[in-house]
Parts: sequence; structure tokens; C-alpha cells
Amino acid sequence: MAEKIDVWQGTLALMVLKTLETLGPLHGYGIARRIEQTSGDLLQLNYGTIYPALLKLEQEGYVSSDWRTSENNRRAKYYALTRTGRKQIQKEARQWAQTSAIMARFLESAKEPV
Amino acid sequence: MRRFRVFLTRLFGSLNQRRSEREMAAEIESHLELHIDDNVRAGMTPEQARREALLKLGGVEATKERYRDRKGLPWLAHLGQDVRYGARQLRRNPGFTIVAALSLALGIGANTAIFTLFDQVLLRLLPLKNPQELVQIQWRGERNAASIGGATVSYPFYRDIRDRNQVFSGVMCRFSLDLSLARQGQTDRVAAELVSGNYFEVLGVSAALGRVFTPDDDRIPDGHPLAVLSYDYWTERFGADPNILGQKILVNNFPMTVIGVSAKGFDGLELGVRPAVRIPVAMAKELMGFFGNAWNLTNRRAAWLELFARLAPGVAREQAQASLAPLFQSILESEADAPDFATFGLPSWTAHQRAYTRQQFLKSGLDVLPAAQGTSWIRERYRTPLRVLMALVGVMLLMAAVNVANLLLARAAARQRETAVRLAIGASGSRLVRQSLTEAAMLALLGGAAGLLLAVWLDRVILALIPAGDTPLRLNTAPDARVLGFTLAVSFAASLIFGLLPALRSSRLEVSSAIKEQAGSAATSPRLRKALMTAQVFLSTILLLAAGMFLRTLANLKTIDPGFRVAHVDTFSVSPDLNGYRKQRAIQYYRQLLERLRALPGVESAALASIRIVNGAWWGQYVGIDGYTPAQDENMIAAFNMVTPDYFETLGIPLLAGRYFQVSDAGSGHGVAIVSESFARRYFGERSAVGRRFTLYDSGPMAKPEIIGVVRDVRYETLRDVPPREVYLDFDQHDDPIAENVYVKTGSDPARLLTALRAAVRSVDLNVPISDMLTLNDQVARNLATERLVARLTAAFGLSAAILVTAGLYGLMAFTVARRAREIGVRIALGARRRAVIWLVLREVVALVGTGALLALPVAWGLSRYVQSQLYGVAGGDPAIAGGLLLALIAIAAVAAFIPARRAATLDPTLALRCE
Repeated sequence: MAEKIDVWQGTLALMVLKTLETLGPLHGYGIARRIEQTSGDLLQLNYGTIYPALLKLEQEGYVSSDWRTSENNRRAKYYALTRTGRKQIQKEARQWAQTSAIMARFLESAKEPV
Repeated sequence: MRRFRVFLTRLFGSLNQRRSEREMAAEIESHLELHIDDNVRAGMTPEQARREALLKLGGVEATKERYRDRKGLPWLAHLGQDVRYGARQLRRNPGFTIVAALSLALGIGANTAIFTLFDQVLLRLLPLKNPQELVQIQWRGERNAASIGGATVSYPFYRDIRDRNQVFSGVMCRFSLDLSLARQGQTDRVAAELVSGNYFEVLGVSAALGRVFTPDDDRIPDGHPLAVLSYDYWTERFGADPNILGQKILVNNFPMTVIGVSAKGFDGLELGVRPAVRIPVAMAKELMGFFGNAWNLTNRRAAWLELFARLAPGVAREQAQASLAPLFQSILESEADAPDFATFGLPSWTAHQRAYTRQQFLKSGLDVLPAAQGTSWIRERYRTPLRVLMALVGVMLLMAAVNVANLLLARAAARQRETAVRLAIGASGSRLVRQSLTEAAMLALLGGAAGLLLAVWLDRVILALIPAGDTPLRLNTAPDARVLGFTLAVSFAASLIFGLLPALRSSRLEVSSAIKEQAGSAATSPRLRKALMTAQVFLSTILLLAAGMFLRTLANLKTIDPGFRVAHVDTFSVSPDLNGYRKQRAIQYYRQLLERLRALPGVESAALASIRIVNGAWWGQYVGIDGYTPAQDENMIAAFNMVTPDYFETLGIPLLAGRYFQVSDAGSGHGVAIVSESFARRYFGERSAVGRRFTLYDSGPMAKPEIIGVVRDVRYETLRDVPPREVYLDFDQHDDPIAENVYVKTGSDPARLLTALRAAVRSVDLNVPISDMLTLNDQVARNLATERLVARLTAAFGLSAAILVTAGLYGLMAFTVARRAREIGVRIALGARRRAVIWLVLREVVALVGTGALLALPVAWGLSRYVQSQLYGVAGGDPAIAGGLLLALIAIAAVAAFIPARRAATLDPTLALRCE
């Protein structure tokens, strides 16, 4: 069985934003679920951590929230991307791509014999 | 920007807790329901589904806690908790709280009070636009001119600088004087200024009403009889009547038209002097008659104007000074070659002396000095005393802080177990430190608030002690934003000092041993407290020594014999010249005045003098003595006074040789003079001075009076300065006498006579202003006002320090005796004598006090060098001060040790041993 990885600080916010971009407005449980699935169940995620992260995004103005009724008739708080949130995704995704590219190149070169 | 927005949201979030708490609970509830639904759908039993959902969430409470931390500002919440906890602690222990707060209030209050004065006298800038651009231009060196003021210049010189410089955006000049101001029958003697037309323009002061002067207002000599009133004088004297514009007022009996009122809040350039009216300098001839004829707009050999300028943008002060040098040099050269230069000076000067003077003149310099604060003799006089006081209150605050630190340590020792328990159940050390500091800050704020009230009261007392004569020194005692800020800063600084030590100590507690052991056992060794106590003794010894030195200075000054009678004499000044009395009319006025005064019941004699002695006034003139060759740089200036024959009798100045003035001298046709014994001894040595003549120089030749008598030396300018060589001229021989000071001797209480004197002066001429009327005793005492103020304040500081240190010592000793009760009980049980037990306690007190005091002595004597100018007759190791200090320390030790020692000595050994 594959090792499960803890969610890194900071990456969770981007995952949340990306999830909302893909699926549209969604409640906290749905977002947590989706992140777990997308990672192919490789991520070890305490669902509880999603809420402070959502609160932070809301304080920063990247998401907004309101109470709605879910498809199976439960009341839930739905989160939606704001316009600054969309911009933030592009910005963070670019930074993330750069970081991982650098890391990848670094690991490649380290493998080669000196 | 986004960060700030987040901060605001969180700040708001921490305020709105109840609602967010509900919403959070609802959200987590809905999360669990959604998850359980899913789980059940996947085939779990409801219980299984619930457990799995909770597990996956990571605990409801943990989630809520993380959410809360993110929602609000955790440190704010903690602060709130700490404040509540601190308040509870302070309330629970009111005795401690009151003592600590009072101790801080003393320290902070004294600091705030002195800072209020320090700020206003030494730190404030003038309330003008860009005050730091303002500079004063001063002459340094020989001016070869008649002069008023040490670094002043002539009007033509002012014009040269104004018109030919390239570094100032404006140059203006001023002369400060007292004038008589009359309107509708009421005459005031007011502070006034003669100013150049661009005065207001350079300062950037506008008009509140009408207009202020413009450069066009001082073009024609005697041609601008105009006046601008100050805002305060306009409101106080004229009830802010706008119809004053265009009206005439009498200035020294000369009608001038009021053209405006200057802006509110502008007092002038001199601290404590607030000119009521400003007149164009072009009117000098009308208003300067009192000083002689030299002061006009064309005479280069009359230096009397103060020069101020505003630096052009981007020009530094040093740059301005350097750039003025060539211009100044060319002015010097052209002045030195002008005909009036050679004819100025004493006729007796030899060619050699004239060459020397010319050479010195050409070496003169021009200084450009910062004037953002304006100019002030008050600042000069009070600078050192205020600095000394500021330093002493600083020491006192330190002392109060150490005192509170010690109290807090004592309490921390008592609360040790509680602290240990809190640490044991997971409170972090930093959190404990923060909590202690919060409590300390609360204590400091409490003390600061009380201190602020104390400061306002103290400032009133201090200002009442500063003699002001007729123009009170108006300083503001109400705390403003600067003072509040200072108090707040001082309070927090103090709380850091006294809060940090106990806080750090408690956070480093050994938990297990502290919980196990009894409170107040060996773990709380009072070594730190003893060190702090020694520091307190050290600081209070410095304060006590300072008090001793200043009290001794005052006592020494009080023993000075002024050389004249102080008791049973009243004195005051009249200014008939301000109302146009000159020459024959003035003589007539004075004669009438003396007659009226002498006719009053209780008056034994009355006399006039041109100089009011021991009041800071000085009249110096060159003298030449036949048969006496002065050294090349010898100062041949003698102090002068012009008096009526009764003067010596009224002031009880004894005659040593010859005779006093007589009425018959007046008509004798040749001058006679009386000299002081210093004068006689210096110039005539052992030979008799009576019958000799000396030459009296003014700007022109003068008579050669004959010395008819020698009188004893009297103090002249101030009580501190040794008596100068003095010459008395006969009032009755002068044809244009100015002798505005009156002395009246009475057989009864001089204070009771003052009302009658005032009425008598009014009866001669209602319009002649009277000023500074008081008993001679009070006037001499006024000389010592600064010393008295400093002595009283330092004595109060010393006393407060003694009380603080006594209370601290008592607390420490009581604690020590309680802690060692068992040991003492054992000693008594084993047969120790009472005396030995008492000595056990006393020994510690003596060691603490002795160490602190011995450490302080060298420091205090070292520091005393910095205040030498403020001391009088106080030498290092003064026996009176040393003795006083020793007594004070013994008293402190005795009072502090008495109760603890007695408790130790009367300890019941069985009780002490059993109580464990």
C-alpha cells in the first residue's frame, strides 16, 4: 500500500481554490472529499483542517460563503470563488509550477554522476 | 493592504464571538451529517458511520479550537484573559496594590511634573511655520560701540546684512523693552517690542484682525506711529473689541494708531516674555529716550538690535555662517575706516589703545545660531536646575520600580505553588511571563494615572514658587498630548523594569520541587530581593545626598550678609519717565513723591536709587584714577548707583570714612561721589580715598567727582556675586535723573505699609505705573527662589525615597524573620539571648543599608561635580551633610528593623517549632 502524505502547509489553500474552480460552489465536506479523491487517496487529510483554511481564504477575500440546502436536503455552508480568488489561483499555480520545476531539475541533476 | 484587511476582519471576529461560535457549531454539525449520510449509504451502521465521521474530522473540539484561533486574534483573547486575571489578583490583594500603585505614582508623578516644565522651558519649538529654519545672528567680539545686550548690532549693520546676504529668505531685527501704554485714562506698563517692518513676514505670523507690519512700515525715521497689539493683550485689555482698529493709544505718551492684532497663539520669541504691543523700529527715537540719544537708525556705533533670520530653503546653518563671513569682513573694514569709528570711545584712550581696539574689532566674527526655540534668559537660568531635577526624578522612578519589583517578588514567592501547578498542567513559560507583564503594566497604568494627578498639583506648587515679578512666567500645567505620551512611556518602561524580573523568575520554576515544598521555604532564597534592596538603598542614598547638598547650599546662601538692612524696608519701582517726566519735571515729581512718602505714619525715611540692588540690575561705567596705572587688559569698569542722601540711612549702610551726601552738595557746582570700601582699597590701598578725584567716562568727557566718603561693601547684582567696586553718585546733582526705585524704612511691619505706599504714589500722579512693590526681605528672598525650589524639591524627593526604602526594608525583614522562624525558635530553645536574636535581624539590615550607602557615596560625589554651578559653599565630605546622611540611614534602619527584630526576640520557641 502506498505511503500517505500529510498535507503541507500552504498547499491546502491552493487545492481548495482549485477544487472550487473546477466544481463551483461547494460545502466544506465536499471540498475535503474531493481533495482526498483527486489525490488518489494518497493524502492524509483531517477533514477538520479544511475549516480554518476556508476561514483564512474568506478573511483574505478569495472565497465567499452562504448557507444553502444540499442536493440531499441538508443545510450546509457553501463556499464560492470570488474574482480575486480566481486571480490568486493563477498566481499561486504559476509559483507552484516554478517551484516544482526547480525541484524536479535539481533532483534530476543530483542523480547524474559527477 | 490585504494583511491589514485580514487583521481588521479578525479583530472584528474576536469582538463578535457568540455569533461566530453558533455558526461554527452549525457548520461542523452539518459536516458530520453529510459525512454520516455518505457512510450510511456506503453500508455502515449508523454508529459506525458516526464514529468514522468524527475520526476523519479529527475531533470536534480540536477543530473548533483551530477555527477559533483563526477566526479572532488569539493574542488578543489571551490579553483579555490576562487582564481579567490581573485585575482579579490586584483586587484580591488591595494592600499590595495600593502600596505598589502609590509608590509608582510618586515616581511617575514626579517625572511627569518635572518633564512638563522641562518640555516647555527646554524642548518646545516656537509655534511658527518651519521653526527650525529660524536662526539668530550674533556679533562675537569687540564692537567699539555703545551697547545694550552682549551680541547686538546697529540698525545700519542690520540693513547691510538684510540687503546683501544670499543665504536667508528674510532677516529681521527686534528690541525688547517696557513701555507705558495708556488709553481712556488707564495706564499699563507692558512688555513691548520695537520691530523691523518685515518682522511678521520673516516669522510667518499673520493678523487676527486688521493687518500686521510690512517692510513699508519702517522706512521713514519717526514716520510710522503705528502699533500692532498681541492677541492676548487685545482680548484681556480691550475685550477683543474689533473697533480698536484705527484708534489711537498713547505709547509713552506718544499717540500711535492701532493697525492690527497679531495671530492668536503667537507670544513672541522669548519664553515667558509676552510683548503686548509691537511698534516699528523707525519710532525708536520717540521710545528710546530713556536709554539716551545714541539709539537711532543711522548710528553705526550703537549696538542694540537683536537679529533673527530665516534660512533660505536648502541652506544649512553652518553654510549660512560661512557664506556671511566675506560680507561681514567688508562691513567691518568700511566701518573701521569711517570717521565715527575713530572718535568713538573714551577721550583718555591712547593711540596705542585705539590701535588695539581697532585690531580687536577687525577680528570680530558673526555667529549664526539656531533659534527654533527663540531666545530666553529663563531657559538659560533654569537649564541646569531642570536637568538636575530631571535626573533626580529619574533616579526616584528607578527606585519606585525596584521597590515594586521587590513587592512582586515577595508575592511571587507566596504564589509559588500556584505558579508551579499552572506550569505542571501545561501553561507555557512565555505565557506566564506575558501574564505577569500584563499585571505589571496594569499596575503601572494605575500608578501612572495617580501620578498624572500628582504631577498637575506639583507643577502648580512649583510655578507658585518661581518668582515672576510683574510679568508672571506663564507655563501650562495642564497635561497635553506630549506629557500624556511621556507619562505613558514612563509607566510602561517602569513596568518592564519591575515586571520582568519576577516574571522570568517564576517561569523558570522547578515544578516538582516547588509543588512538594512548603511555600516560603529554601527554594525562594531572598538573595535577589536582597540585591534589589541594596539597589534601593543605593538609589535613595544618592537622592538623600542630593537633598543634603541643595539644602546646605540654601542654608549657606541664607547666611550671606548682603551688607544692607533687609528688615523693616519696603521697595518698589515707579516709571515717571514712561509718562514723559524728564529733567526738571522729573526732579519735581521725585521731590513730591518723597515728601508724600515721608509724611505717611510709620515711615522713618524714604530714598531713591537708580539701580535696584540684588535684583539682577547692573550699571557699569569706565573710571580712570589719577595716579593709578591700570594693566593693559585691566577691567576699569565700576558698578554705579545714583541715590538720594537718605539712601545710606534707609538701608543701614555704614560709613567707614568721610561723610554722606548733604543737601548742600546739590548746589556746590562740582561733583561729589561716595565709593565702596572695595573701590577705595583697590585704587588707593592703605591711603585715604577721601578727598581724591577720579574720572568718570561716558561716550563723551564727564566730570571728575571728588570722593567725599567711603561706605561698606554691599551685594549689588545678586546675592551670590561678591560685592563689586561701587560708586554712588548724588541724585540731587543730576539735571535729568532717572531713579525709579524707591526704598522706604518703617518702624513697624513693612508688609502692612504697602497699601498706604501705593495710595501715596497714586496721589502724586495716578498715571505713573508702579511695579514690583514688596518688602525688601521678600525681594532678597526672591534671589534665592531657584535654590529654594531645587532644595525643597530634592528634599521632598529624598524624603519620599527614605519612606520607600524604609517600607521596603521592613517588608523584607518581616519576610526573613517569618521564613527563619524555625531556626530562630531553635536558637532560642537552645538558650540564645534576646540581644543575640535581635542582632541576628539587625545585622542583616545594617549590612544591606551599609552596602548600598557605601556604594552610593563615590557615585554621588562624582555626580556632584556636574551640579557644582548650582551649589554654594558645599565641599566634598561636608560634615553637616555626612552627619545628616548618617542619621537618616540610621533612622531608616532602626524604623525598618524595629518590629521584625522584636518579633524575632519575643518568638515563642514551642510555637515556632510546632507550626511546621
